Amino acid sequence: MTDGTTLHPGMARRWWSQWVVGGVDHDAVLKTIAEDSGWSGRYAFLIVVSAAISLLGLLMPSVAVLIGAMLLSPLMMPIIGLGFGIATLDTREIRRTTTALLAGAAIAIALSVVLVSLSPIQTITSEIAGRTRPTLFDLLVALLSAIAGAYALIRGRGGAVVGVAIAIALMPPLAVVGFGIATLNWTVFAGSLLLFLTNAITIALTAALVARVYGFGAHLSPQHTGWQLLLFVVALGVLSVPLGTGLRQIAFEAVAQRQVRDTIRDRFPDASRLGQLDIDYAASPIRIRAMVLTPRLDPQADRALASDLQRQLDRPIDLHVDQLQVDPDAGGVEVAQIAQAGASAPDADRQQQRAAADLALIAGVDADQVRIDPQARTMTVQAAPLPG
Amino acid sequence: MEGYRALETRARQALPAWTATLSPPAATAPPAVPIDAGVIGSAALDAAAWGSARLGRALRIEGGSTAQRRAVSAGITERGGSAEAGRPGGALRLTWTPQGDDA
Repeated sequence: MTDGTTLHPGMARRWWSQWVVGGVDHDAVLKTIAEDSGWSGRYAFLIVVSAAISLLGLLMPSVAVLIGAMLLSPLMMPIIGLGFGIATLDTREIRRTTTALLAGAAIAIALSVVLVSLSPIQTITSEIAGRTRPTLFDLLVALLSAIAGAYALIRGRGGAVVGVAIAIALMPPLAVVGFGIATLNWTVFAGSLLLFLTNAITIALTAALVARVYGFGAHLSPQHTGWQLLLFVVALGVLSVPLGTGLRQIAFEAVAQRQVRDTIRDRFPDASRLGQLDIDYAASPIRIRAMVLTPRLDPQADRALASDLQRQLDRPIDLHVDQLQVDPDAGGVEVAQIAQAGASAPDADRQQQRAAADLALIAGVDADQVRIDPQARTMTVQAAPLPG
Repeated sequence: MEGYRALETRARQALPAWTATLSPPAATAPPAVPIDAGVIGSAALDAAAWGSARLGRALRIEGGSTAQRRAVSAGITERGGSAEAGRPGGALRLTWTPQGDDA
């Protein structure tokens, strides 16, 4: 391969075709693929079983059951077969594998729609949610898995295909597509369909590329090879756009969640605790609702935190922090909820202070600005200007 | 103005044992008075009367026709606010009377 320190491209090509491509039994590989990549009774049976198990795994939710479904799913072979069909420009093979793939996908989706409609549980579980937001990482997983899958088929390393099936997981996204249709949830439907298309297109085109590298379609002209490369680059480029946006959004949400948490914690005294945090990134402005257990109520918190976070995240924010006063004498553990205060019959003075603090919080001012008339049971306060 | 009024409602719900009165900041602008198919918005009159009562200030109704200015003035007064008909010219609108010149 090398001659001293110089590498000759011609020698490398010769070495590759003699020692790597030469060891491949092209006919045997194509025969294996042809046997498993078309429509058959066995294929239909495995589609039905794996789609049903996938759906149950998604609804339970159970990763172990899902992996079982992934191993049973026969969808990978028509997709790899399609790739080899593209590599050799065998239109008959392309038609045969596409038919099997589309029919298999349609059966899986239809079965999933029926089962979800019959199921009393239609909750979006973590496993379902995880398949509705594909990112560039999914494309990379499909790309690498397809290289491994095509290599395993060509070199006869059948065992590796098992790992590939688990890594790519073609059947669960189809079951989620059915779930989206049955529950009329188009976000779920579109997200999971994009994930399935990403996997299917990437596997088919990468398998085609690997097949060409291993000498399949050697009879094709350089123009054909050029078109195949163009198809690969354009398809992956087009898929990268929504997947890249998805990845950026997920990265933004991870950073934003940490910043919101830290900013709210820093605003309140050390003894306080952030009890609950809900962030709705889809809303515009971003909706943040938090609950803080604090020894000292902070009437300005909402406004200050919203402006702080707006600056940090560079997005409009709608923030509200519910503050529950914690009794510092009780070691900061016992939550002194105002609603519960009456039940434990504290003295009138303390009750009045709490009511004033509550009103001050609503008005966005300090508690000492609330004018109280205990005899008339009235409280008067001038509100701070509302933002906007 | 509607926002501050909603805050007062919220305060009253949160403090049922008290009569909570929340007034808007003094610089709050009076609400706009939309006229839809010749009908003046009742919600705007409610909010205007509430703001006038809370701030202890009178509103002046400017623009529109004489009948409209009178009607709005009467509507605000009926709702517990304080208002007077102002000058014609331009669209119907509310302004605060200058301090010390309250009706």
